[in-house]
Amino acid sequence: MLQPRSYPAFVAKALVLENEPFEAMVDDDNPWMEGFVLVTTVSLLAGVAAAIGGFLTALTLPAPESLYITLLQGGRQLAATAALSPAEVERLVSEIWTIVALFTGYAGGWSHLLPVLSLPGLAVVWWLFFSVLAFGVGRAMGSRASLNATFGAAALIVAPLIFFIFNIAPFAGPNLAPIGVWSLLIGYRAIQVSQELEWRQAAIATLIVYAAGFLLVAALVAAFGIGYAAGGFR
Amino acid sequence: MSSQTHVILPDRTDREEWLQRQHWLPDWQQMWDAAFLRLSDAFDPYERGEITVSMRQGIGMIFVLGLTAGLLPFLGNLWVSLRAGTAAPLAAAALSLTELASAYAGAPALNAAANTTSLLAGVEPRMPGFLAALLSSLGLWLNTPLGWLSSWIVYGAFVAALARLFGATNRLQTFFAATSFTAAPMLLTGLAPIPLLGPLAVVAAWLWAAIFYYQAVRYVTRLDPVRTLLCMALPPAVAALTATLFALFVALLLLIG
Repeated sequence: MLQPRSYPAFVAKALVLENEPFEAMVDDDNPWMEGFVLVTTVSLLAGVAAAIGGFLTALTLPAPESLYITLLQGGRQLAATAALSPAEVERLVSEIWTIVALFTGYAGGWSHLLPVLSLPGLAVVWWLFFSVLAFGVGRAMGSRASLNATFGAAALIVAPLIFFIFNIAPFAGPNLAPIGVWSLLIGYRAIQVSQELEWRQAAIATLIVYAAGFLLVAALVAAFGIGYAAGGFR
Repeated sequence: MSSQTHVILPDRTDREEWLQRQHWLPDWQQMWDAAFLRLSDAFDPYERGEITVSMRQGIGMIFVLGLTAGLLPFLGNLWVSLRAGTAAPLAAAALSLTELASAYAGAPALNAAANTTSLLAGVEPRMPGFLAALLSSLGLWLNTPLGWLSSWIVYGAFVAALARLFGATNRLQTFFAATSFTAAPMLLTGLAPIPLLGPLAVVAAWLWAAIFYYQAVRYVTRLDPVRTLLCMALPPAVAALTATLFALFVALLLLIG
C-alpha cells in the first residue's frame, strides 16, 4: 500500500544511511510502485523548487538583452586587448549565451519550467538504470533478491535531491558532486540491504553501476558534442 | 524533564522521533569539547564506551555552524549589493575585479573584465534593487552550510573508503558522525571579511580543522598514524594529479590543434 506520509521520514533516514527505510521499501507489498511514487514525488519537489529559484534568480539580474549587449561589448574589448578576432569572440559569447540561457531559463519563456520536467525525468531514468543494473550485478554475485525489491530500496537514491529545496533562493543550491556521492552511499546501502550482500560485494556492485552510468553519460555527451560540432542545434 | 531521559511519558510521544531537535543537533558542550580536541567528551558525553553522536546530529550541526560562520560574509554581501542596488554576486565580482585591476594596472585584459563587470552591476535588475540584493545575499549565505555539507560528504566518502581498504571496521554512520565535528573549528572562517585578522583566522581554522579531522579519523577507525595520514592525503593528492593531467591533456590538444 502506498505510504506517501512516510516519505519525509524515509528520506531523512536514508540520508543518514539507516537501514530502516530500505527494509521498509523491500518489505512493501508493491516496492516497484512505491519506489516510482517516491522517486517522482521527491524529484518533482526538487524540480519545482529549482524552477521557482531559476525564475527568482533571473529577476535579480538585469534584463537578458542588456546583459547580452554588455557581454558582447566586453568581449570586443577583451578581443582588442588580447589581439583576438572580434568576430570570433562574438561568436563564442553568442554560443555560450544560447546554451546558458536555455539551461538556466534566464532568457525567459517556458525554459524556466524545464527543471519541473527534466529533474523527475532524469531521476526516474537513473533509478530504473541503477535498479536493473544493481539487480543484474547482484545476481552475478550470488544474490537471490527479486528485481521488485531492488526497485523499492533503490528508489531512496533520490533522497539527496531534497537539498534542491534550497535552490528556491536565488544563487543558492547544492552542486552536483555531493548529490552524486551521497546518492552513491545510499545506493550502496540499498544494494547491501535489498541484495543481502556483504559490504565488499555491495561496494563493488555500486561502483560497477556508477562506472556504467558514467560511461553512458560520457558517450551521450560525446555524441552531443560531435552533433553540435557538425552543425546541429544551430 | 531532561531530554536525555529514557522514560517516555504518554503525553510526550506526540512528535515522531526523527523530528525532535535533539536528534538533529548535539549539545553545545559537545561542540565546545570538539573544538578543544576533547574527542571522547564530544563523541561519547554519557561515557557509554561507544560513539553516541549520530550522523543526523552531524548534518544539523554542520548546517547551524555553517549558517553562523556565513553571517558576517552575508552582512558584507548585503551591504555591498544594497549600495550597488544589484544582485550580490554581480556587485561582489565588480568590486573585486575593480580592486584587482587597479592593483595590476598593466593588465589590459583584467581592465576589460573589470569594466564589463562594473557595467553589468550598473544595469538595473528586473526586480527592485534592494529586493535583488537581499534575496541574492540570502542565497549566497545558504551556500555556506551547503558547501560545508558537500565537503563533509564528498571528502569523507573517499577517506572512509580508503580507511576500510586499510583495515578499519567502523560503520559509515559513525565515521560521518565523528568527522562532522570538524565544523566546530571551521566556525573561525566566518571572520574572513575582517581586514588583517580575517586571513589569519581562515588559516588557523583550516589547520585546526585538519588536526581535528586527523584525530577524529584515528579515533573512529583505530588506524595507525601513517595509515590515517595516507587516508587523509591521498584523495586531494589524486584529485590534484588528475586535474594536472587533464590540464596537460587539454594543453596538448590545443597545441596539436
